[in-house]
Amino acid sequence: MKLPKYPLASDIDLTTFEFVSEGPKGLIRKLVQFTPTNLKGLFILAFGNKDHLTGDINDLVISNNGDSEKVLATVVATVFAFTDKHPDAWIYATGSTKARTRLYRMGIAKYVSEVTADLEILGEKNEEWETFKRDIDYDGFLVKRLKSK
Amino acid sequence: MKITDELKKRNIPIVRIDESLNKYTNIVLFPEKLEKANEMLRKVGLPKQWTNPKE
Repeated sequence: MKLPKYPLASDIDLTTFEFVSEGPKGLIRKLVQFTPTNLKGLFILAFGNKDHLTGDINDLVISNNGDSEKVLATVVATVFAFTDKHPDAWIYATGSTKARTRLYRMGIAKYVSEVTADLEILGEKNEEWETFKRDIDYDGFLVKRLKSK
Repeated sequence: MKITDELKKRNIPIVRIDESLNKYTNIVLFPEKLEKANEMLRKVGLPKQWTNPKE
Protein backbone atom coordinates (compact mmCIF):
# COMPACT_ATOMS: atom_id res chain seq x y z
CA MET A 1 0.00 0.00 0.00
CA LYS A 2 1.72 3.15 -1.23
CA LEU A 3 -0.37 5.60 0.80
CA PRO A 4 1.03 7.99 3.40
CA LYS A 5 1.50 6.33 6.77
CA TYR A 6 2.82 7.30 10.15
CA PRO A 7 6.10 5.86 11.46
CA LEU A 8 5.55 2.78 13.59
CA ALA A 9 7.05 1.60 16.85
CA SER A 10 6.47 -1.88 18.20
CA ASP A 11 7.12 -4.20 21.09
CA ILE A 12 9.66 -6.97 20.58
CA ASP A 13 6.95 -9.46 19.52
CA LEU A 14 5.37 -7.21 16.88
CA THR A 15 1.97 -7.53 18.59
CA THR A 16 1.61 -4.02 20.00
CA PHE A 17 2.29 -0.99 17.82
CA GLU A 18 2.28 2.70 18.51
CA PHE A 19 2.16 5.70 16.23
CA VAL A 20 1.35 9.37 16.61
CA SER A 21 -1.49 11.01 14.71
CA GLU A 22 -0.85 14.63 13.77
CA GLY A 23 -3.59 17.07 12.91
CA PRO A 24 -5.69 20.05 14.01
CA LYS A 25 -6.28 18.39 17.38
CA GLY A 26 -2.54 18.12 17.93
CA LEU A 27 -0.56 14.94 18.59
CA ILE A 28 -2.60 11.88 19.50
CA ARG A 29 -0.87 8.64 20.38
CA LYS A 30 -2.48 5.52 18.95
CA LEU A 31 -1.98 1.93 20.01
CA VAL A 32 -2.69 -1.08 17.81
CA GLN A 33 -2.74 -4.52 19.35
CA PHE A 34 -3.04 -8.03 17.96
CA THR A 35 -4.47 -10.32 20.64
CA PRO A 36 -4.87 -14.11 20.45
CA THR A 37 -8.40 -15.47 20.77
CA ASN A 38 -9.77 -18.80 21.96
CA LEU A 39 -8.90 -20.28 18.57
CA LYS A 40 -5.21 -20.87 17.96
CA GLY A 41 -4.01 -18.74 15.07
CA LEU A 42 -6.87 -16.26 15.20
CA PHE A 43 -6.05 -12.79 16.48
CA ILE A 44 -8.12 -9.69 16.96
CA LEU A 45 -6.90 -6.36 15.69
CA ALA A 46 -7.91 -3.43 17.86
CA PHE A 47 -6.68 0.11 18.22
CA GLY A 48 -7.42 3.19 20.24
CA ASN A 49 -6.05 6.40 21.65
CA LYS A 50 -3.39 6.19 24.31
CA ASP A 51 -3.40 8.71 27.13
CA HIS A 52 0.22 9.87 27.25
CA LEU A 53 -0.01 10.54 30.99
CA THR A 54 -1.81 7.46 32.28
CA GLY A 55 -1.18 4.99 29.45
CA ASP A 56 -4.90 4.14 29.41
CA ILE A 57 -6.36 3.10 26.06
CA ASN A 58 -9.68 4.42 24.74
CA ASP A 59 -11.24 2.91 21.61
CA LEU A 60 -14.53 4.80 21.89
CA VAL A 61 -13.26 8.35 21.55
CA ILE A 62 -13.62 10.05 18.18
CA SER A 63 -10.41 11.94 17.53
CA ASN A 64 -11.45 13.97 14.47
CA ASN A 65 -7.83 14.81 13.77
CA GLY A 66 -8.39 15.10 10.02
CA ASP A 67 -6.18 12.15 9.13
CA SER A 68 -8.46 9.11 9.18
CA GLU A 69 -7.09 7.80 5.88
CA LYS A 70 -3.50 8.06 7.06
CA VAL A 71 -4.46 6.39 10.34
CA LEU A 72 -6.13 3.54 8.46
CA ALA A 73 -3.15 3.13 6.15
CA THR A 74 -0.90 2.95 9.21
CA VAL A 75 -3.12 0.32 10.81
CA VAL A 76 -2.94 -1.72 7.59
CA ALA A 77 0.84 -1.40 7.78
CA THR A 78 0.72 -3.05 11.20
CA VAL A 79 -1.16 -5.95 9.60
CA PHE A 80 1.74 -6.45 7.20
CA ALA A 81 4.30 -6.21 9.99
CA PHE A 82 2.38 -8.63 12.21
CA THR A 83 1.73 -11.18 9.47
CA ASP A 84 5.33 -11.02 8.38
CA LYS A 85 6.11 -12.62 11.73
CA HIS A 86 2.88 -14.65 11.89
CA PRO A 87 2.27 -15.60 8.24
CA ASP A 88 -0.50 -18.11 8.99
CA ALA A 89 -2.48 -15.86 11.31
CA TRP A 90 -6.13 -14.97 10.76
CA ILE A 91 -7.01 -11.48 11.91
CA TYR A 92 -10.49 -10.44 13.02
CA ALA A 93 -11.47 -6.78 13.26
CA THR A 94 -14.68 -5.04 14.16
CA GLY A 95 -15.52 -1.58 15.47
CA SER A 96 -16.33 -0.83 19.08
CA THR A 97 -19.58 0.63 17.72
CA LYS A 98 -21.63 0.03 14.56
CA ALA A 99 -20.66 3.47 13.29
CA ARG A 100 -16.99 2.65 13.71
CA THR A 101 -17.40 -0.69 11.94
CA ARG A 102 -18.98 1.20 9.08
CA LEU A 103 -16.02 3.59 9.05
CA TYR A 104 -13.65 0.64 8.80
CA ARG A 105 -15.75 -0.82 6.01
CA MET A 106 -15.57 2.43 4.06
CA GLY A 107 -11.83 2.58 4.56
CA ILE A 108 -11.33 -1.00 3.41
CA ALA A 109 -13.57 -0.40 0.40
CA LYS A 110 -11.47 2.55 -0.63
CA TYR A 111 -8.19 0.65 -0.62
CA VAL A 112 -9.13 -2.98 -1.11
CA SER A 113 -7.92 -3.03 -4.71
CA GLU A 114 -4.46 -2.01 -3.52
CA VAL A 115 -4.05 -4.89 -1.10
CA THR A 116 -5.84 -7.80 -2.82
CA ALA A 117 -2.53 -9.12 -4.10
CA ASP A 118 -1.31 -9.50 -0.52
CA LEU A 119 -4.36 -9.88 1.68
CA GLU A 120 -7.55 -11.90 1.51
CA ILE A 121 -10.36 -9.92 3.10
CA LEU A 122 -13.71 -11.36 4.10
CA GLY A 123 -16.78 -9.63 5.49
CA GLU A 124 -19.14 -11.00 8.13
CA LYS A 125 -22.81 -10.66 7.22
CA ASN A 126 -25.79 -12.53 8.70
CA GLU A 127 -23.41 -14.86 10.52
CA GLU A 128 -21.75 -15.92 7.27
CA TRP A 129 -18.43 -15.04 5.68
CA GLU A 130 -18.07 -13.79 2.14
CA THR A 131 -15.41 -12.14 0.03
CA PHE A 132 -15.41 -8.44 0.85
CA LYS A 133 -17.56 -6.34 -1.47
CA ARG A 134 -18.08 -2.62 -1.47
CA ASP A 135 -21.32 -1.11 -0.21
CA ILE A 136 -22.29 -4.00 2.05
CA ASP A 137 -22.80 -3.25 5.71
CA TYR A 138 -20.62 -5.90 7.34
CA ASP A 139 -20.47 -6.68 11.05
CA GLY A 140 -16.80 -7.63 11.08
CA PHE A 141 -13.83 -8.46 8.89
CA LEU A 142 -11.37 -11.31 8.58
CA VAL A 143 -7.98 -10.87 6.99
CA LYS A 144 -5.39 -13.39 6.00
CA ARG A 145 -2.03 -12.79 4.40
CA LEU A 146 -1.64 -14.43 1.03
CA LYS A 147 1.48 -16.44 0.42
CA SER A 148 4.11 -14.68 -1.71
CA LYS A 149 4.35 -16.04 -5.21
CA MET B 1 18.24 -5.23 -5.04
CA LYS B 2 18.62 -2.63 -2.32
CA ILE B 3 16.99 -3.57 0.94
CA THR B 4 14.67 -0.55 0.76
CA ASP B 5 13.48 -1.66 -2.68
CA GLU B 6 12.85 -5.14 -1.32
CA LEU B 7 10.86 -3.77 1.61
CA LYS B 8 8.74 -1.62 -0.68
CA LYS B 9 8.15 -4.56 -3.01
CA ARG B 10 7.03 -6.76 -0.13
CA ASN B 11 4.91 -4.04 1.51
CA ILE B 12 6.80 -4.44 4.77
CA PRO B 13 6.74 -1.29 6.87
CA ILE B 14 9.84 -0.19 8.72
CA VAL B 15 9.10 -0.59 12.41
CA ARG B 16 11.18 0.75 15.27
CA ILE B 17 11.35 -1.55 18.29
CA ASP B 18 10.38 0.38 21.42
CA GLU B 19 11.05 -1.62 24.55
CA SER B 20 8.66 0.53 26.55
CA LEU B 21 5.86 -1.17 24.59
CA ASN B 22 6.91 -4.58 25.89
CA LYS B 23 4.79 -3.93 28.98
CA TYR B 24 1.68 -4.37 26.81
CA THR B 25 2.80 -7.70 25.34
CA ASN B 26 0.86 -9.97 27.70
CA ILE B 27 -1.92 -7.54 28.57
CA VAL B 28 -5.29 -7.56 26.80
CA LEU B 29 -5.88 -3.87 26.08
CA PHE B 30 -9.28 -4.38 24.42
CA PRO B 31 -11.14 -7.05 26.43
CA GLU B 32 -14.54 -6.13 24.95
CA LYS B 33 -13.20 -6.67 21.43
CA LEU B 34 -11.77 -10.02 22.48
CA GLU B 35 -15.12 -11.03 23.90
CA LYS B 36 -16.79 -9.99 20.62
CA ALA B 37 -14.35 -12.11 18.66
CA ASN B 38 -14.87 -15.14 20.89
CA GLU B 39 -18.62 -14.65 20.55
CA MET B 40 -18.21 -14.55 16.76
CA LEU B 41 -16.30 -17.82 16.93
CA ARG B 42 -19.10 -19.42 18.92
CA LYS B 43 -21.88 -18.20 16.59
CA VAL B 44 -20.23 -18.02 13.17
CA GLY B 45 -16.88 -19.76 13.18
CA LEU B 46 -14.23 -19.30 10.55
CA PRO B 47 -14.87 -19.43 6.79
CA LYS B 48 -15.11 -23.00 5.54
CA GLN B 49 -12.60 -22.37 2.77
CA TRP B 50 -10.00 -21.47 5.38
CA THR B 51 -10.64 -24.44 7.64
CA ASN B 52 -11.00 -27.08 4.91
CA PRO B 53 -8.15 -26.29 2.54
CA LYS B 54 -8.52 -29.60 0.67
CA GLU B 55 -12.00 -28.62 -0.65
